[in-house]
Formats: sequence, structure tokens, C-alpha cells
Amino acid sequence: MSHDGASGTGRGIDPQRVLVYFEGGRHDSREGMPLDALQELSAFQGLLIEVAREEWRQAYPESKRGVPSQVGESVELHLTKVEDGSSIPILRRDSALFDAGELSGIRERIVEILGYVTTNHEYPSVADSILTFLKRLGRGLSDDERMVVPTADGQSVVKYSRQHRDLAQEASRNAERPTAEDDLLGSIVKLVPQKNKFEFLTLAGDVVEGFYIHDDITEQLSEYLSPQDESGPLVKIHAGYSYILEGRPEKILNVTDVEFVLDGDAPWSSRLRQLGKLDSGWYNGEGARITVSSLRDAAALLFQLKRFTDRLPGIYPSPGGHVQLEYPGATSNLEVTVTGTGILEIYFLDLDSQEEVDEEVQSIEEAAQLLRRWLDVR
Amino acid sequence: MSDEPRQMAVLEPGEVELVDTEELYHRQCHPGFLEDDGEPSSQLFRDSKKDEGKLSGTRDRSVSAAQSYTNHVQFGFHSAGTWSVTVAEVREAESRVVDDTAALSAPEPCPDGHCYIDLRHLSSKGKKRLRNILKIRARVRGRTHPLRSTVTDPLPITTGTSE
Repeated sequence: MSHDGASGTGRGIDPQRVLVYFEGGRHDSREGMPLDALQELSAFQGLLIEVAREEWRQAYPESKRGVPSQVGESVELHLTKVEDGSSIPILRRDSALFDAGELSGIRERIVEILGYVTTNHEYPSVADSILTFLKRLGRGLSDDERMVVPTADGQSVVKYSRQHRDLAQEASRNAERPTAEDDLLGSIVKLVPQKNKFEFLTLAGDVVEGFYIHDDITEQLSEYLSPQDESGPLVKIHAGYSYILEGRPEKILNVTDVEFVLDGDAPWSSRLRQLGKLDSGWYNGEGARITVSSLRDAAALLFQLKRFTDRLPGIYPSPGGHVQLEYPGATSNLEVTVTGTGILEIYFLDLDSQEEVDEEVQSIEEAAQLLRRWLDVR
Repeated sequence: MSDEPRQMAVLEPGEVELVDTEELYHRQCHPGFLEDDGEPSSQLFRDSKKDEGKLSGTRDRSVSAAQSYTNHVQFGFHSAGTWSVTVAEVREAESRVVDDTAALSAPEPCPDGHCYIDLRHLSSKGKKRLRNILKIRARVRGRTHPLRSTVTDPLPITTGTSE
């Protein structure tokens, strides 16, 4: 088992000897070890001690005397030298309170804890004493560096980075804010795939920082990326987010789905976006929010109609949360109510000929064919 | 609801049906129902639940189109201007205009010149027909106030003011 794409310790490093080492950035390119790494080793030491104490408590749950000081001392480490190749600190352990097997268990536990962080981008539920040192790890790493922690048998290794720390810290901070999960409408205006991070311009005009856990979301987000804010495609993302004001995301915590809603530059897109911004109660205290499916179906119908007419309708919200399209004439009016439920209501009235049509159709294609009858004439 | 129209309700004491067929009924257009190019939606003549079948407006004999607009926004409502139809045009849509300023059921507070288009006897289809007839007629007349596009009331994206 490995974490973060690692496959064994590699580089001929003996996991029996090497509890932790560094790679990338300054560690690969220079001799010796940057001093920043010492704070990582110190935090790692703290983590080792606290996990050892936890293991002891689990082994002796009935003990009333508390954890003996020898437990911590038994995993105290001394840096004796730094081997080249990458920064490989050779750490000596003086005490033998824990035998090799018990130490191996402690190391496995540490790999498990760090692996949780790298996979879930949040800290696991562990004792505060462990969490204290866990939160310190990663501070001394540059963006392109990693702390590598193998198990004693080398079968499992975790590569922990500054990014992992940042994401977990963020999740920790967000845990204090209320959260919600919902569909959000807006545009993707920035994407940083290396950090599973993006920026989202909401319809309210807020630029919200966002994160996602699963790498396959990168492809979906990049497909709809636009650096030009409102002229980019409008998408709907299903996301968990934290907020200060209800309904207005402060930070997007995870995206699980991305769905296209509107083209960026079709002639009707700007108006439909405007309708999408309407809040509940927009019509003098009444008026439902315009549904995403209405917006999308209206755009789809207009796209179909474009094949045989350049004429654009008036595009209006309806208090029921739908989109209404209208083609006025000198003595007539043609209107389509796009409900977004698959049903489109078509009404035509001509005061000269007294022709009146009031129909419901079940598909956009059917609606387009019916409307053509009047739009071709115009 | 059946598509057959029902009989019009008996007017309450104090209510008076407008009889001058050329008198204008003024209606305020919510900004959502007006496109940037000035074209109104037929929903300008759509009633909401709280209207209870009486589509509020004002009569020209009491207040002008301009004053009707001013009074409306001073009450705190959104408007993209005044659109008007005649009593004759309302009758064409199989309805009537009723002045209820002197009736007990008049709204509180009651705007000057308040009247309503009576929709209570109409089916859903009848209301749709009425909206479209009145839109066609009002559109031919053009917006009665302001005559040019000087109204800057934007489409509200926050909760609108309730009556």
C-alpha cells in the first residue's frame, strides 16, 4: 500500500534504518539538508512520541499510573548524519523499551494517520496531543518538497506535502463555519489542478475559492474554464461549502459534479444569466427563483430555433420560477412557457385572424417544430 | 377549473364600473417583465394570488400615467413604467374595469384613482387570453410613462419589497 502515488521507498533507501526522509526541491538539488527540515524532524519526533504513548495506553488500559516517561524517551531520536541523494536524516534511538515489532506498529500507525490526511484532505479524529504535532508537519516544506515516511517493512509509504497540510488546515478552519450542500450556478474562472483548487464566480458576483477531492473533477472543471468571468459558460456544480451568510458560499469545500447550463456567448446567454440571478421574492415579495432546468431548456430551445429564424424573443422570468419567451407581432403574440419539467406551454393569439392556439408539448424538439409554423412567416 | 367563463361577480357597494370606453386603465410594469429593448411581457397583466382576481391599476380620470408611476414607486414597489389599455380593450378581453376607491374592500392604503380589472369570472385560459389581448393593445400604444427609456429601476436580484 502506498499513499499519494508513492510506490515503495525507492532510491535504495532502507526503511529499517530510515524513519523519515525528504525529497524534491531543495532536498534534491543541494548538499546537506535545509534547516527548515529540522522543524519537520522535530514535529515528527513529537508525533512519534505521542503515538507511542497512545500505543502504550491501548496496551495497558487498566494502568492507573499514567504513561511512564520511558515511553517517550524510548522513541527519542538523535540526528547523527545526513546522507546525500535526498535529505536522509539518520536518526538513532537509544532506548529499547519498544522492541522492533512494537516500533514497527508505531510507524504503521503514523503512516496510517498521514495517509488519512493525504487522502481526505482533513485531519483524522485523533487525540489532541497527536493532533498538535500533526498540524506542525509540512510547515517547513516548500511547494515542491515532500516528507516521505515509510513503514518498517517498506510495504507502505506516505509522501506528505505542504499542500496536504494547507488543505487539512483549511478543512479544520471551515469546520467552525456552518456548511451546506447544494447546486451552485456560476463560472469557473481559475483552475490550479496541482492543488485541486479553483475559483468560482457566482451569479451574485462573488469570486469563491474552491477545492475538490477527486482528481476526475479536474477534467470537468477544465472543460468549462474561462478566464473571462461572465463570458465563460455558465455551469452548475454540486458542492459542499461553508458560509457566513446563508445561501452565499464563502468557500467551496468539495465538488462532486459539474454540469453545463448555458453557453458563454450565445445572444440569449446574458439575459438568461440575469434571470438566474433573481432571488426568491423578486416579484414584489412573491416570485420563485428561476430553476436551472428552465434556464437550460430555454437555451436549448433557442438553439434549436436558431436553425430557421434569426429572430430573438423577449425573455422573461415568470413568478412560478419558469422562463417565458415571447414573440410579439403587430396584432399577435406568441409565447412559450419553459417549465424545465419537460413540458412547454405554447400560446398563440392573432387578433386579426382570431387564430388562437393553446397547447402543451412534451419536448423541446416538438416545441421547436410547432413554433416554426409562426416564426417562418415572420 | 372549467374553460367556460362564469358570470361576473356582483359589484360591492361603492364599486363603480368604468363606462367611458376611451378612458385609460394604467398598469405598472415590473422590471422583470420588460426587456432592455422596451418590449413588455404579457405577464404585465398577470395576477398573483394576493390579487384575489382583481388586477390593480389606476384610472386616467383620477391620475395620469406619470402620477400613477410616481405613486407606485413611492409606495416602495418596483416599476419599469406605466402601460395602459382602454376600457374598450378590457371589454374586448371579456372583462371590465372597476373603480373601488369608495368600497369597503378597497386596499389599505388606497392609491389615488385605484381600480381593478376583474378576473374572478375567468378560467385559466380566459386569463391567458386576456393577458395577451391587453399586451397586444398596450404594446401598440407604447409605454405611457415614461415615453422614452429613462426608467432606471433594475431587475431586482434581491428580495423585492412586499405589499
